[in-house]
Amino acid sequence: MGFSKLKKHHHLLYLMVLVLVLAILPFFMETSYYLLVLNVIGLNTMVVVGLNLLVGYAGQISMGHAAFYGMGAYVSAVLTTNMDLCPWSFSWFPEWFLPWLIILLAMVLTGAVAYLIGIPTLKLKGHYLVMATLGLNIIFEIILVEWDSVTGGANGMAGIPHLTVGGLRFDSDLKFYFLIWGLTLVALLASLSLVDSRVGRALRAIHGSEVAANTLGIDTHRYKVKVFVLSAMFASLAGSLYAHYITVITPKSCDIVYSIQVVIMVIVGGLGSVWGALFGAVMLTLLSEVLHIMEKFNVVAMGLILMVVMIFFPEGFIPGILNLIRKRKGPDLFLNEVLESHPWK
Amino acid sequence: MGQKREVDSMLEVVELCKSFGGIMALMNVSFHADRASLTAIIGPNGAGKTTLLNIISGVYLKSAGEILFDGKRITGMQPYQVACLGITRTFQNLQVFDNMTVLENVMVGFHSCTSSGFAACLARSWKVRREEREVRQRAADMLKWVNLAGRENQPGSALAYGDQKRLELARALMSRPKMILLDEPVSGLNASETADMAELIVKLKESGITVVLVEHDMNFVMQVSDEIVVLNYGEKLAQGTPLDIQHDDRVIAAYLGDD
Repeated sequence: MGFSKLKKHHHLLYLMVLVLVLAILPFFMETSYYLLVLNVIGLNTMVVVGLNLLVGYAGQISMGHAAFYGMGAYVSAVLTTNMDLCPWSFSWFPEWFLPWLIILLAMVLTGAVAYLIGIPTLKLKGHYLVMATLGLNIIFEIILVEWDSVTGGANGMAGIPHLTVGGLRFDSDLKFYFLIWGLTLVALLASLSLVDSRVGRALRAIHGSEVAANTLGIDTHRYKVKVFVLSAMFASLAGSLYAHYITVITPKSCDIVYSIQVVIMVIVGGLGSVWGALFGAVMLTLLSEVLHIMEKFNVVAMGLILMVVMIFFPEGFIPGILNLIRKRKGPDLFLNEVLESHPWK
Repeated sequence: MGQKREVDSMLEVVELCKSFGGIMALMNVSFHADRASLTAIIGPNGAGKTTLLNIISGVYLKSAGEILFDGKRITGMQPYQVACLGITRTFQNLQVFDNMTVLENVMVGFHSCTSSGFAACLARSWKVRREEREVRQRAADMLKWVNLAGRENQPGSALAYGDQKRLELARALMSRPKMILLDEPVSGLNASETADMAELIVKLKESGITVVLVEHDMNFVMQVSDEIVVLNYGEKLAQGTPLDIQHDDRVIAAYLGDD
């Protein structure tokens, strides 16, 4: 069957379609507001793809990822607006390179924090793990507000410089669009690659049966911590980019509500599906923007969607819809083959 | 500390005790399993058989006594450490990964024999690609060996009960273990499935793997075992060849009944 080659490389196909769509989309954007929304979707996708590895694949939960997002944003903001803080200001790097280095530094720092928090926390199960990660948001917010000499407190920070590469300055929505989606595509690719490998299978094994995974030589605790750190680093990168894009950050941009929103995006998109993560981020960011006018309704709508998905489509929105289609359509050869041979990955 | 036996002893359990709260699940249980032999652990429900397997495989950590594997002390080791030393197992209540395909289930079994980490897998290095091809092929071959060929892409949970048991066995064999612990390998299987499983297990033993299993099916046990250990209320009642055990009065009284 000619379809078997297609099935094997279907991820590459989806990726190419995505790249194509992304390439032509900006030309249909009437105002820069739409580009802004697309950029926010891109940032959220990066966070959600990383979080999905933790929640969807390894089966752990984190209700504190806004803190890692915020760490990325604030480390970038603080260090780039106070360049004299950097010990290597007079270094051999061109000046435009420093903010990028700082982004990497932020990722390392966030990763280190995630590692230290992860080791004791990921020994907890269920409700306790949720509570511990929720607490992370609160602690982070307190630090931001209290350490106001550095972070600007509740008012946050402004004047964060735009990123530059040589002569090119990422100071417009369009330029940032290519930057952010370029990096998000890399994140998607890396995620897809990880999932279909020894490590990806180990993570899914932990979710499937932690005891069996252990007896097959998988150090489950260490894997949980590592994927927690990885997802924190994805969030940190997104946060740093956000800071350099909007040039203003406040504690509100990385509060507990954001933590919950990204988890909802993962769940709605379909746990354990990289493309589902993209879908979840797109759908819920769009919804959030549409409902922005009625700000409080936004949160209510999110909650309602979560409830509906959990009750009717617990495997996620896409898998749920696909299953519905499969049941209605009956014997459709190609569709059935695609659906049956891929327990939605 | 028990003395080190002659090299033929693959597994040595010395004075093993395990309590859950106030309940003594195992009391001073000692036995050994010879290299490339098949030892069956039998006894009434609640005798401590699965507890024994759980302790040996590291699933239960705190216990008194010693466990020696190939001369090496493995008491208190984590399950993944035990696995890397060459002991794998199957489960009484089936722990098939239902979020993965049949092939992927078996591929996970090879985990301890490969080493690509997060960085390599994120970047999909050449090493990773080579490894993937190798594991995939090995897993496919293993599935053929347990007669599950052709089901590679079905979800693990879609298989019939008997097939899932074979799947777990295939998964446990991927890392070429030195010893395998089987927890009720034929429970819930009909006569012909039991015969097939018996054939597979005997082939395992003949290939040099030490087999230790827990079972209730006496015909099966008598047919395949080299050595039988009888547990009752957490204590070892008897150990011997099938013939010895069949004629042991204490065992007959406690477990076998008039046979």
